[in-house]
Amino acid sequence: MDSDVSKDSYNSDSDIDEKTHSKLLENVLNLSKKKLVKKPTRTEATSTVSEFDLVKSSGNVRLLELAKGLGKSKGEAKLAKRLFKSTAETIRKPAEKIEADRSHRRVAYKSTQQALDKWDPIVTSMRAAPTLSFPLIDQNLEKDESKLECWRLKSELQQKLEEVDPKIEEIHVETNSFPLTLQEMLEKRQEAAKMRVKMGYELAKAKRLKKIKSKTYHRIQKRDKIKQQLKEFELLQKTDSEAALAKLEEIEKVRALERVSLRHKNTGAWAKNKQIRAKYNTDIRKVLANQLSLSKELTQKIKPKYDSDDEEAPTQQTQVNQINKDPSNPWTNSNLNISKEVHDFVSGYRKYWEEKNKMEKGEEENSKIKRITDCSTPMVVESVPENVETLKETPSMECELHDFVKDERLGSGDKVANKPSKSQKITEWKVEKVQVNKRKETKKIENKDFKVADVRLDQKLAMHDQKLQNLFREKMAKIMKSWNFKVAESEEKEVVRPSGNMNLRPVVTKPDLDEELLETAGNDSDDDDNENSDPLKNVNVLKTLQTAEEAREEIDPKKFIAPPKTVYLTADVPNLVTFNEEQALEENDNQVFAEAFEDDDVTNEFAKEKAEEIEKFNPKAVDLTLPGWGSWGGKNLEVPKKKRDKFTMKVPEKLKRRDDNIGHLIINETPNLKLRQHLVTEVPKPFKSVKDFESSIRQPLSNSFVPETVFRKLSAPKVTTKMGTIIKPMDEDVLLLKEKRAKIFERSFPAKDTRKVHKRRKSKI
Amino acid sequence: MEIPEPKPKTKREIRKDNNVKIRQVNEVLTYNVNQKKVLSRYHKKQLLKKTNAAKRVKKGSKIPGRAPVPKGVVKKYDKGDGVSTRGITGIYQKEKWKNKENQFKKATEQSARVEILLSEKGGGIEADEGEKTKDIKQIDIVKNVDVASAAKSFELHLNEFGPYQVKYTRNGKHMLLAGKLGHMASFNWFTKKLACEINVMESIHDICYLHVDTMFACAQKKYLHIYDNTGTELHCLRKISNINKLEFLPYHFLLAAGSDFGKLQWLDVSVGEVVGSVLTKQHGLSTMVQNPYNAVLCTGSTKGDVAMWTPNCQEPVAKLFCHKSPVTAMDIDPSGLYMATAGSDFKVKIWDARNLEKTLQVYKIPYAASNVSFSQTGLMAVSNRQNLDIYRDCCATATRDQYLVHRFKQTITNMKFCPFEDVLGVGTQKGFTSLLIPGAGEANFDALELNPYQYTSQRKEGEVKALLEKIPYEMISLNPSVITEVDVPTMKEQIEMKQKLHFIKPPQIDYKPRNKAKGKGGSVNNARNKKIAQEKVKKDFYQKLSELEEGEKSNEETKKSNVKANNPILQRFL
Repeated sequence: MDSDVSKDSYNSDSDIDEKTHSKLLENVLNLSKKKLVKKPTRTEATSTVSEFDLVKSSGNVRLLELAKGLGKSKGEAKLAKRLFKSTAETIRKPAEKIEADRSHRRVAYKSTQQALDKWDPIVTSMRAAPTLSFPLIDQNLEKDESKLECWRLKSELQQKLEEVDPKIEEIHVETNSFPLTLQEMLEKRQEAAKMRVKMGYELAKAKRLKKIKSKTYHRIQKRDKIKQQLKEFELLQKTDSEAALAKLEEIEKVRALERVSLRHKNTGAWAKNKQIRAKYNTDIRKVLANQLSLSKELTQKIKPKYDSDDEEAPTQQTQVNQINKDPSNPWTNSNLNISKEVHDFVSGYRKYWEEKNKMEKGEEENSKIKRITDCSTPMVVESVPENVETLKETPSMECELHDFVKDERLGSGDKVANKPSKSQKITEWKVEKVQVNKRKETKKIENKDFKVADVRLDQKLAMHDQKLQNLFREKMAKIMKSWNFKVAESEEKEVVRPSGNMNLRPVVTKPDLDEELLETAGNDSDDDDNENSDPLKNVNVLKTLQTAEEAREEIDPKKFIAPPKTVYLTADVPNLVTFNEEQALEENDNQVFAEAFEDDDVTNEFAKEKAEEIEKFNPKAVDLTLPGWGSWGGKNLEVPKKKRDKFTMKVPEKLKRRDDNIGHLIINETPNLKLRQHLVTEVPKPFKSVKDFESSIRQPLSNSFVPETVFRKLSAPKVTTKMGTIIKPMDEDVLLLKEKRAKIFERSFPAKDTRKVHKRRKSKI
Repeated sequence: MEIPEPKPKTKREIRKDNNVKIRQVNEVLTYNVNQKKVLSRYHKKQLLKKTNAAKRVKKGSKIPGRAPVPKGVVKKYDKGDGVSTRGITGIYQKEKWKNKENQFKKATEQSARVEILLSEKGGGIEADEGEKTKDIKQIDIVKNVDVASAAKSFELHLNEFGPYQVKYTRNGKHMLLAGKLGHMASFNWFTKKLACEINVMESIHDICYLHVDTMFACAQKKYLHIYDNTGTELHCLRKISNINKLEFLPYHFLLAAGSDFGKLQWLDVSVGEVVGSVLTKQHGLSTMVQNPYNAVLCTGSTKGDVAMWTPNCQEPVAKLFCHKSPVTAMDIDPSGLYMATAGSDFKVKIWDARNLEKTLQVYKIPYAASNVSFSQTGLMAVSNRQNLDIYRDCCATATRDQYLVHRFKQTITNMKFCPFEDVLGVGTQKGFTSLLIPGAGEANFDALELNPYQYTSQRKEGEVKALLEKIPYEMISLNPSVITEVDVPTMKEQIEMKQKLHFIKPPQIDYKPRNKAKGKGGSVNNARNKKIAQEKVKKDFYQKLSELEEGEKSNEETKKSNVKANNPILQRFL
């Protein structure tokens, strides 16, 4: 090609003899006997192949032709065979007819499904639409505003305005319809191909691995997996606590499954066989033990690791403390601080005693037995059980200790006495407290009985000790105070809570639609939210509720709500008006009448009437005793009370009435049977509960209750058709306007439910 | 009947510097026909157009959108919580109810919004410091109001057939006047155009308009009679006799009659049947009023209690112990919020008429009131003999003094406030007096409900509409909203019954073969026959059971079809 170009340029530039030129060319051609026409290469991606590119190529060596030359000797034949062996796989045999049909159907189903799916949004939206009017509006017409414009008359002002401010035509910038360049496309395709290949590999690998029959292999795999999971869990624990929880749950599930199953429990036939042989073979015993240990390992609970600070003391007591802890409670708050102080103090104390011990050890190793009594104090500080042990050595002390412990119990309050051992074991600071008290007590003992032994102690030390003791006593007193309080509080909780839960829930009544005047006498404070917030407060609330309940329980039919203060109205009845005698008499009568009624017991009469009414509606206990059944019966023989109690059907004592505690009111509670005919007795279809249905009929619909516009909308027919028009079935143009429909569709069928829709369709097909 | 001209004004001049100021004469009496704004459908439509246009203004534009509606007003029209979509099955139903709830919400808001159009304000008299409204005489009021309003104050001297009773129609356009001695007249009291005037030649105990002004009931000496507006006797109801008191329940089309022997009867005037009768055990039923809130009848007794009655129950649905002496008069205000009772212990008590639990006010007055009457705006008129006292703001709060006072020369027998007018009609021993009480009537009226300016075709249309909206008498109960509730006990029973059907076992039968001759029976045959018999019983049983289960469904269908086939349209009024 280049030569052609040069030739052209040559021609154009100067006129040279053609003959010579052609000769030159020939010569040049002859110089190198290669062809100048190159092999055709494509520069553009085209499907057509140019006929001009077809050039005979003779330079290639074909394997087949080469192989022809091979002889028929054994080695050569082998080689030939190897060479001719095709790398391409054989074409699979065509599927059987049933299978082929099935796949055809599958594909057809899928494509049909896709074709129908596009109608889903519009169908849904039309079904959900409150009203539909046919024929459907031609959307294209509506959109084309220019068409509408010609029908619109413009006012003078509008025309003038347009003249002044001519409409700017919008310039549509054509955007590239192909977002990717060829290169990018190709790259994308390549990447996709790579992905596919990778997926193929993965699939093949998975298949291969699945086919492995070795149990040990799978076992190892499983174990690795578990380990991996654990690792991940630990990692997650640091980073993402929520995910860690989820992971933990997963692991827990595996553990639970393991616990439930009988695997690794040596219960199978295999294990039983082994067990028989285990008697004589230690190896087998080992195997069995291994199995058990494996099960233990698998069913071990995973505990999330604590931080270094927490690791030291996550004892039960602290947890208990935390449960009891309440931000608003000053006692519990201060409690923690005090206990820390005490802890510090006690550790200091311990140090001091250790030092002292050392000193004493050096001084008097000889009189060891005698000192045991003395030394009991430091040991007490160390730990209680040790202390007891040491004391056991001296039986005389044992009883004393018991006494002391008893005293201690009495001192610390009865509640503590119920579970002293527990508290000793569980709580740290409590232990300290007990210890110190012991110390205190022992000190007293020392003072009483072992004055002689004390003489040896340093004066200074004694002083120091005394000081410490005093200090400690004070602090202890504080703690005890708080602790006692806490006990009392918890006690209260225990007592009060259940009753609160059982009975005291304020009754939720149906609110009246228009009740404004109601000023209830009882204080139905419904503090459901506050219930758990503050225990102390809670107790108060519960107490008040309790009293309220007590008040309610004592239903007094005579109890009247105190009427408001009487207002005296002085209507000055004029004297101008002359009474005739008859009227005066009547007046007098009236007064007399009123006076006569003053003393009459109308109030009591009414109360009696009310009591009767209540009695009438209260269910009565039914006595089912049969006299003479199981015991003697007769005229003068009474049925024993025990028996009567046993056979009487009891009913709840009092039913709640609307007029309870309102002395001046009787409300008849007989159900209105005639009204019941008109009431709905079942919850109709789309509603799930009574409440929902009731709220659905709460609103009257007629135009005397709702505004006209709303009334028209509510009473509009579901489908309206335009007279004199042909209603054609929908075509695909309708699908173009989709924003709104898509919204409704999404709302009706959220992403997870789409499968359901398909399923339904499947059944229809 | 003579209608006397208004009396010539007294010479006495009202001093110019009278401290009592009657504020804005036009406002004192709210009634000015031209100013009245009736919220017709057309107006509503116009308003909606405007508001919708305002709504269309987009966000971010400088023009503000619709004005917010005050929450308190919205609450007034709110009917409670809506249906949550969680409580509904089916996606389309959910969508439907969502839409409906939106409409309801819109309805509430719109109702609150158009309240702006109720521009009319009730009038009233306000006193300056140191003065009292009760010092103003009727004459002063008449002098200071416009001519049209002044014409509403008049007096009828009817010396012969008294004492007179008075009743107004529900729209306040017509008035019924009946003298004890048989004189009875119905007329448009504003134009004074007489519809009819007759003498029934018997004693009249009570009168009452039916659902329209063209018909009224009259409790005569022995029986209950019904007349039309020309005075023609339409019916004589012998079933209902010795009537003392009459009340008409407009929404149920019931005429309630309380007899001298304490018998209460409810007559359905649309079909002419007595739908309920109850013996109250109160002789000489002297006080009987209806509660407009729930259509329950209240009767006062000599023992000082007020009993409430419905046609559905022989016992009173509620009984309220009001006074320690006989109840002499009582009334319930038109909104159904307050009840006033007066006893011979010289007390007037105001009660919360809906939950009855509380005495709101107790007033001690210097006489035992023989009449108590509420106006639409909550004014309370109390009278005894010649004294008439009117109290304002006396229900929710305690009032200290009268609003207006009037003294008659004759004894007052009966009095009624005229609806939608600032007028109190008082029937006396010797005639009738119409008094101007500023601020007594409701200023804004709903023309679709009650229209004082109704003309004939509207009346006819309204009659038909009211008939179509008639409420069955069974629904009368203390709590009127009970109809929107589900009958839960029955529902539970039904569900239980259905469930029980599954656990019924087929009956066991004792099969005894006949003794057959030797060689004919055989134990094998016997056993087989026994089995066959048992199977047959079993099969029949299960078939019946399945019929029962299916029957419920099919029964409903047949019921529906039957209803369509047999019942004519007006059947539901029975």
